[in-house]
Amino acid sequence: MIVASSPSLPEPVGTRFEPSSRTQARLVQLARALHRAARNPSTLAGSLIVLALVFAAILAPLLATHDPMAQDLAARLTPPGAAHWLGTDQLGRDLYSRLLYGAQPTLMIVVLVVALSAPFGVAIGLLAGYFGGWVEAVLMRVTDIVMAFPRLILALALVAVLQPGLVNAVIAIAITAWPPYARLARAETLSLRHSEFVEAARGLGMPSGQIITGQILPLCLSSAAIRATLDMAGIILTAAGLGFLGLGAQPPMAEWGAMIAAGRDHIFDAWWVAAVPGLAIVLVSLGFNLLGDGLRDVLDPKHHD
Amino acid sequence: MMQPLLQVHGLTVTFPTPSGPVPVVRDFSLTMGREKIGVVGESGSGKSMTARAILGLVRPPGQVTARTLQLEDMDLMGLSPRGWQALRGKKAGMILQDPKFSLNPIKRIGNQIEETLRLHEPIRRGERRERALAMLEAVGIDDPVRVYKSYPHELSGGMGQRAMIAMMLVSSPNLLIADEPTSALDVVVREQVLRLLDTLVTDRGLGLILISHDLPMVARFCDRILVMYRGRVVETLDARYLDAATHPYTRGLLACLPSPATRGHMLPTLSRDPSWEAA
Amino acid sequence: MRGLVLGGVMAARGFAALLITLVGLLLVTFVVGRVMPIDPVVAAVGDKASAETYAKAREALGLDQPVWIQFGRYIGGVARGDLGQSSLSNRPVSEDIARVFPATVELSTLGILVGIILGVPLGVFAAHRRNRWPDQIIRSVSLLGYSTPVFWLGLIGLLIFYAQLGWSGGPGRIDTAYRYSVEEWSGLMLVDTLYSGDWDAFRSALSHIALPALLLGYFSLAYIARMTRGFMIEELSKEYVTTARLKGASEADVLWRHALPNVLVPVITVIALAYAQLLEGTVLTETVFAWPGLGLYITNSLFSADMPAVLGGTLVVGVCFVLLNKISEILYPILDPRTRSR
Repeated sequence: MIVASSPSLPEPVGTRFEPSSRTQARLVQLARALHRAARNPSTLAGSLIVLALVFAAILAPLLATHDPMAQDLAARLTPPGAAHWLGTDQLGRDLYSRLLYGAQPTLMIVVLVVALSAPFGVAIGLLAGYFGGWVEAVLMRVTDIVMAFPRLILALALVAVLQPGLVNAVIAIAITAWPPYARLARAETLSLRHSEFVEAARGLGMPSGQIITGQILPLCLSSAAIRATLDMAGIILTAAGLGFLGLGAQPPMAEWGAMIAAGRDHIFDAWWVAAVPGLAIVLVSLGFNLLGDGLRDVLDPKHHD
Repeated sequence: MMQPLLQVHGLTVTFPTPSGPVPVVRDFSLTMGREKIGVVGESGSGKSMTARAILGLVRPPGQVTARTLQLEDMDLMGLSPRGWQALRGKKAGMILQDPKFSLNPIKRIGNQIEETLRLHEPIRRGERRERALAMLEAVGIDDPVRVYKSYPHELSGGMGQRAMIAMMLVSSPNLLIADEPTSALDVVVREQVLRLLDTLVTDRGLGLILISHDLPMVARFCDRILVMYRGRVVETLDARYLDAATHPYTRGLLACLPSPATRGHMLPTLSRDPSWEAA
Repeated sequence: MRGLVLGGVMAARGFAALLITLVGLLLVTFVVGRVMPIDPVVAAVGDKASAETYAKAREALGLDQPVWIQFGRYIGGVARGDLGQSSLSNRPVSEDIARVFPATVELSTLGILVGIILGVPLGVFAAHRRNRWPDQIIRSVSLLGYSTPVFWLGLIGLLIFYAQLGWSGGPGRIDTAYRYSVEEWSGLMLVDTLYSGDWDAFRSALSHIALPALLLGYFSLAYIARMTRGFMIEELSKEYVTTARLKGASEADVLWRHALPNVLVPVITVIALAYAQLLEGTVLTETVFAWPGLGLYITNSLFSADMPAVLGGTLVVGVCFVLLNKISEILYPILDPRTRSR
């Protein structure tokens, strides 16, 4: 019988790289990932849009042509033109300037919600996956219950009892946003719990806390990061929905969802008031979706399609 | 002179890679009648891809070229999708390696056998059922009615492979390709399935291409043996005279086989020579 | 026999999990209801009531009891269908919800039907033409669906199809002329108008529901098509697909008779999720289209600080979420023999 030795396939073109240190190996890995990301058109488009959002939020005072709060009732509902690039709203405020300033609450909500929900969810998932038993049973049951709740409606009810406002919107969305991270981190931890390097660390007497933070956590981060990026689009839409219902940022602050709500009364005679902030929301969440999709292709080889 | 069953000349299969197209099968040629041909090689030698190319199953981006590819009087080069559908299952069939994966998990065995008939023969339901049951009996299944109604996960590996053979032979093709038909089975069952295959092929006068990595097994069942290495046929042998092999790769393979004469000695391992590929 | 017992144990375990989830839902609404800054006693008796009236009302509402007894009473009430009294309509919340829920069911069901009928075939087709232009187009369309706020698209839809083109009947369920002439039978406007045989009313109802239903359909289509594509791509790489081709099956047979039936279990799960999302999305859609359903009821109650109504509505949507998941689980063994316990 032939010993089924697998034929050695030709080496990939280019010389093999031998990293001389751990840092160098990591840097090279990062550089390769960035290179792949840059060649992926959707990642590129996504990161450009997200960068544009960040710049708009930071540079709003410099880029704005008008004071976003300044009312000019004589110029109310002016269509887009030379004086007001994107027209004005029902109080004569400049839509272009309000759009730029509206990037600030959007960015803030996204960053805060992810900063609150992702670490909490990952921590829950790590604990559940690592310790198993009743810890896992209780934590995952709670996760399932929160997950079973309709996100938007729970956020709605929470904001209603906490009083409408930007901070409360962030809290409400964060409370509904953590369960997917917990599930993700638990699944990753389960697959790592009995891996040899974790067993080795345990055998060497490393305390559980150190194994979780030092050995398992780093390996959960890339999937959590992908999830977070894809989540950001959903957070923007939820925040805009709350704003639209009047439960997010309060007037006169420029917030895209609330701007659409204001444009609703004039949709038939001054369409741009609602259309402009809506397009901004579409563009930005499209940006996060493209970036998340691209990152998944680059970082997660299992998901190649 | 009688027309050969299958004629292949210069069959080449290539796949594109970032560093240019890579050939997986190179210049494969074979003319066969209703005889048993063995194709032997290690994994990655291109033997499975050859079989798939003969039946038009190489999917893009893979590319198939050949000077001749002819089954009986039919030219297979440039055959339309409809032409391939009419040919597969009716004129030629193929048995895949592992019934765990090659049977549709949510359809009953009977239904899966009848599908071949449904696609090729305009016969009524009752007759289809009878033919399927008869075929199950012909592949040595004692309780055809039960197996007819079973789902694949309810059958053992050997039973599953018998059902697979039934699916491919029920519409009486003239050419049967068997791609590692026993390597996923238990050792005990292997021999039974092989003998069954041998009987069916002999009784029905089919042409058989048996693909395997197991040289002695192939030698027992086949008339001629093609040895493939890195996408190329490096040697064609008469199965009765394995010792006449001249190519160093085949000789190397034969030397690795345990036999009473090698008892107590370490078996040699194969040392490869880049020049074999150039051939 | 053993299989039967095993099946019974599994069913009991599934039922227990369902029960725990439902109690969990109740706990969440209970807690949310208790942290509210509005005093429910004041909401009931008004802020000018005397201390004595206040104490009596507090006792009547059971608020002098320990928290866990209150929770027990809350569960008992909900189990009996008592969701509390709406301060806005002054009627039991459960009655209010029973009145508005059919409108939501009608709209979201029509929406999910559009999503299934278009989304599944588009997903299958995209997988078949993977990475070619039809796939790219379907992918872009569904990515856009993932990124667009439903309420905004609703407004733009009204602007174009109602104000500009006049194709849609506009906001509401039916033209005012028919509002009181249609006899309520099922609560579903399309069914009721058909049942009463009033074709003009039916046409009016259809012209009103078409736009929001198509809109919701687009959002579920985006999700269903994208997920179906992914499942199908994985399925098409399996060996039994090669077997089907070997038997002489056409590509259409391979897609629709072999691969698709094998992915129905995950596709059904996705459809259930999409349906649940539509139910939730009605909070926004119904506001835009002035659609008198559960979503509009919740938002209206919200602005009048009618917490029993808000929490009751939230609970109903939550229970729908859980039950939809359960229903898709019940369907699995019918679709896949491997999940049947014998």
